[in-house]
Amino acid sequence: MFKLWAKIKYKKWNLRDYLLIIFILIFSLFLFIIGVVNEKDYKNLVIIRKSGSIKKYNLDKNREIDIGSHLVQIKNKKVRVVNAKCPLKLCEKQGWIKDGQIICVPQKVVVSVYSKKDDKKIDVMVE
Amino acid sequence: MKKDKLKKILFLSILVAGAIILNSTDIILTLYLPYFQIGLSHIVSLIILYMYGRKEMSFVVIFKVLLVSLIWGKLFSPVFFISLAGNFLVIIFYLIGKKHFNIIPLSIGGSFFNNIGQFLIVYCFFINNNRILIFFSMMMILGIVSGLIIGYIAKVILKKLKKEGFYDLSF
Repeated sequence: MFKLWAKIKYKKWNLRDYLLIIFILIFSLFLFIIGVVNEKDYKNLVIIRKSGSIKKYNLDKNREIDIGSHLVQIKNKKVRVVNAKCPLKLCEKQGWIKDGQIICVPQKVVVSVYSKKDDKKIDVMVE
Repeated sequence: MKKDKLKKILFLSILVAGAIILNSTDIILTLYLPYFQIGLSHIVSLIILYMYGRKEMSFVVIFKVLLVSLIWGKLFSPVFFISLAGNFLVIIFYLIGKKHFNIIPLSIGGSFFNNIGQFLIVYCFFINNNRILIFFSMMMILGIVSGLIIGYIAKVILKKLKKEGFYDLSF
């Protein structure tokens, strides 16, 4: 009556099946290692994105960068934005930042700061 | 002949409805667990792949993606294109791999290729940044676990359907 049903033959697991799973595991572990190695590059870094262009700067060097709409200052491992040419100047009001992002929506500028994450010093110990 | 065709259409539409409900359940279950879904709706696509064939499976999966995104109001949004790409690669893998693999490895590979498709779309169009690699590799390792669960459930349901006499096969 049911000619529509296709036929299934239950098979035991082949070598191919194990090879597929092992391949997937090795591939994802490989991607994980690439990701971890790549993560180490994001330390002591300032990345400025402006309408598609990406520029990277070192956080250790004190300097001022002119990107047209803003002036980005890097000083003592801190970053701030001055001379903003936008109406509300919210990016200027953020002040100096150590880690995080300064975003200017009208000018489409993102300044991301990646400082060293392993220098978490203990402030106070209380017993 | 005509009766059989009607029966097939009815059964396929019931299965599409089941796939939509399973996918919505999946979305609700993982509402507070962003970026991760179990992929419950692929139970239905595996069952259709083994019960009917390849054409019907691809039809049901494409319709499921369209209707779920329509219900949840995500049609032609980024989420829609990401899920469409993932499901498209899953269909291609199921079509090619049905001959070669058993059902549980087939489901694990499906989840892997779903992640690959999503990764390609996200990397090419939305986040052009190497930092998502670490995230997607974790998703792939978790996908092995969820693919194992999905494949096992589909296998149990297929065995049960055979026992109840839904199809006369040697599974």
